Amino acid sequence: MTIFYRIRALVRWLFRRDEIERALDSDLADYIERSAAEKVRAGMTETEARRAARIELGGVEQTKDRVRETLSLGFVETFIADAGYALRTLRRQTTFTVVAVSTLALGLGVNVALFSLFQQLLQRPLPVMEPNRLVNLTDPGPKLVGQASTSSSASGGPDSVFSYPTFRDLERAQQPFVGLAAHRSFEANVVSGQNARLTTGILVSGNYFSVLGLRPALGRLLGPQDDRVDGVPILERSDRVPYVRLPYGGPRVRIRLPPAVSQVRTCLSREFAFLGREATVFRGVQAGTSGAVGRDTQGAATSG
Amino acid sequence: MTRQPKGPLEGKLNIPQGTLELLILTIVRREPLHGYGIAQRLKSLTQGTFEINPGSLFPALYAMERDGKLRCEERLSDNNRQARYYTLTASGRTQLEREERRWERVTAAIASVLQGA
Repeated sequence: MTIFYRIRALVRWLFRRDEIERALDSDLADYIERSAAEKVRAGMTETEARRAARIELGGVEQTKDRVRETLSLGFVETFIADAGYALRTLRRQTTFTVVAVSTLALGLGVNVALFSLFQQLLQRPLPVMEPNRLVNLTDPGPKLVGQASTSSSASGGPDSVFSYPTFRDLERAQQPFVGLAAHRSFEANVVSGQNARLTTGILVSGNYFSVLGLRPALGRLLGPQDDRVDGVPILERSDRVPYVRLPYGGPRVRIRLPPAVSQVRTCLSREFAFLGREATVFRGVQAGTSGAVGRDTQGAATSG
Repeated sequence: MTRQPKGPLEGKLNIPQGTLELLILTIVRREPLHGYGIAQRLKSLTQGTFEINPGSLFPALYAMERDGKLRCEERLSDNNRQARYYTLTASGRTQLEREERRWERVTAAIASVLQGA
């Protein structure tokens, strides 16, 4: 009850000072009026009575000041007293305090954790050029038996997985988009010297990086020229990193590399060459992976 | 009522510390009253022993209103002006009852000491 009144009064004091001032004016004027009337009845003249009443009041402004002072000081004092009382009560009732504080802490912690996850996964724009113009295609239509993709891999459910030929057809026929790029996640062991580790890679189409507008920080990224299906793998040398430009339409692979980047790794029993690294730490359009760009040096299965 | 010179006078006492709220609450319990009325009632009930000046009365009234013990009603008074009448709230009534009991114990305790001494 008191708490409710305190809060209401605080709000009133903070936001309705005018109202308090008007009340004060009305109260003091009324006091003078009545006091003067009393004095007139006792035999004073009107002016004398008014003057005496004002004097009795101890000065209108001084009285107002004392009221204002009481109201504003009172707040600080009551607040300090209330806070002290609350703290003492909390200290006395240890069990309640522990339960209440841990409940609050747990609740807040869970909320913060969930929100950060939500923000990471859904709210933060992808670190690509114009992420707001990026769309994900799905094909929710009916699937023919035998043709339907039943895969619900890391790349997504059946509706969001397109076959490689379908992707190429779509890419050729599409009008509304600046570009259409394909990607598919896979898991593989990456071997570097004696060490193997399970990691995630993404098979991508040649225009993946140009569609997303990513630039290499080191070496080069896969480009449309890597989509060709002729010739032999060419090993070229840049000043720092050897990279392979493969002239056929094999899978384009993005591999998350261990910290010490070595140039050639084995993946799915095939050799990959390190091509380059993106300028920003880009984790793919699906949350999860990051890192470097590589290619199968021997040619391999096409992506689905 | 004429203004009396300052200083302790025969028949007039300072209101004991901490009892002003109790006195005000008791006075407005009978009927809603304006500031001047409260001061006058206090004076007449104590036959002039307690007299409160407006510089102490109004800060107390406003603080009590802020704390929710008093509430104000705008009323048209006998001289045909709007005046603010102070009245008890539920919380003020509870406080008054508590203070009354406390005061009875204080006076009883003091009385028994005085009689026993």
